[in-house]
Amino acid sequence: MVKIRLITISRDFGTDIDEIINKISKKVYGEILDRKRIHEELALEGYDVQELENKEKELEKGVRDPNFIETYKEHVRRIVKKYIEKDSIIFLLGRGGQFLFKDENYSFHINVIAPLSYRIKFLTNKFLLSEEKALELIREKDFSREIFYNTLFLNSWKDPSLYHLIIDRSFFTAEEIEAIIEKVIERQESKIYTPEQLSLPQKPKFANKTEEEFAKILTFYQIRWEYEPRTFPLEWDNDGNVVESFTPDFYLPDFDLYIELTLQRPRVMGEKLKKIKKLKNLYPDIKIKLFYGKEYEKLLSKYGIKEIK
Amino acid sequence: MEKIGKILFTKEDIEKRIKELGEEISLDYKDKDLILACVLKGAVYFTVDLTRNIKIPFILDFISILSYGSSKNNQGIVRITKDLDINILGKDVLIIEDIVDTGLTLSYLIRNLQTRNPRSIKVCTLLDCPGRRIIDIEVDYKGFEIPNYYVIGYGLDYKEKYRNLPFIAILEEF
Repeated sequence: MVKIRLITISRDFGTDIDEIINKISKKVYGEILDRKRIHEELALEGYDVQELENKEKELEKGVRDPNFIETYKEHVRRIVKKYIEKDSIIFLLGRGGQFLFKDENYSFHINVIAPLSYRIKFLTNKFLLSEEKALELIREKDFSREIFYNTLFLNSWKDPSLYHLIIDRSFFTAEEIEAIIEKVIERQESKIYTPEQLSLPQKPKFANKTEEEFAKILTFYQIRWEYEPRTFPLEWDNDGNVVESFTPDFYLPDFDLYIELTLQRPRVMGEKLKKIKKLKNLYPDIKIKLFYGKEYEKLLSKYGIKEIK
Repeated sequence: MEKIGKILFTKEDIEKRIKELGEEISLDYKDKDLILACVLKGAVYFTVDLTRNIKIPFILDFISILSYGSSKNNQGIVRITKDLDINILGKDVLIIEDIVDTGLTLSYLIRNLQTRNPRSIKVCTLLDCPGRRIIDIEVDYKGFEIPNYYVIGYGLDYKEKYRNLPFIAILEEF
């Protein structure tokens, strides 16, 4: 097991997360590394900080100098690792820590976000700005931030897969956020659980590859789905035993919708059509859509899925 | 290989229908804070011509969404690759699409924009293909309804080609 040594914090402009991290850091005898500290370290190493700052501003404007970009990343990595070796918890604020240390098993990546209304309120209260000015500032900072990360890492910081934890600042008190982060630190182990340990649902046994592809498409578009969650009885014998039933392939709970997929051609799927007709008669409130044959092939083809048998 | 098939809507058909849509939208959004959110890239041609037929003030902005299959790595999730530049809080947003078919992209986009608290969100599409719909989404303004064809032209592409056709045609593969 590897201990968590580095917590990277990505945060929206207009939240008090830096103050919260400051409190946590004091409690756990950690070290905070932010832009200023990194510049100070580089100054000690003899680098021209003014030039560095100018170059950083260019990054925020989208000027891509590949040599500087690599040097810059290396500087941040080196300084962070130097502190990690001192055996204390490091909190890296910004600087693209979620990208630079993405695959390091000693790191934990947090993104702190907040709704616009919260951020405006925070800035107007803290800096006595007008709401218009606060909004202007937020837009400006968000824009620079987007450009900065796109230029530096060719990626957006908004990608949720970059983070272990995303916190909505407006949803939690400062104390609750402290407790959450402290809990992470207390674990002292950055371990990846197996699905069994987390009691995660097992991957469904799809009847065919196209169903699996369909599930992937739904997942991609953030549509919640369940695979064959319900079987509808269609016929009973005189003793009350179910003699015929139908199990639609997918259920989309957010839309209360069942979906049945089949690559069978219409002329050979009479049985299935009969069952769906019975289903609609017996359960008129059930919403079900059927995609079959050519129509289903066209649907798959739209998403670049072809020749899957 | 593919080729341009039967023409479904000529340049004149499209112009006429867009003029009607422009008039309808101008009437419905009179005295409202209209923001046209054009979904890149397919809706560009439609949006530009539509704006020429809208007679009320509006703000035009663009949004782009990563679609499934557009990248070799489909393991991720949908995300906005180019966001609106303007704040839509309290505004009346009209999403402009080239085609609404499965409803998956549009459903994500509406959910995403709703979190920004606009006053209203409506959808205007040049083409509506309800036969391919997975998620039922209400289309408020539609140019034409089409059966389950793969179509090209007037902004709609096949592997990035054919957007510049002045008409809408069926794509035939052979």
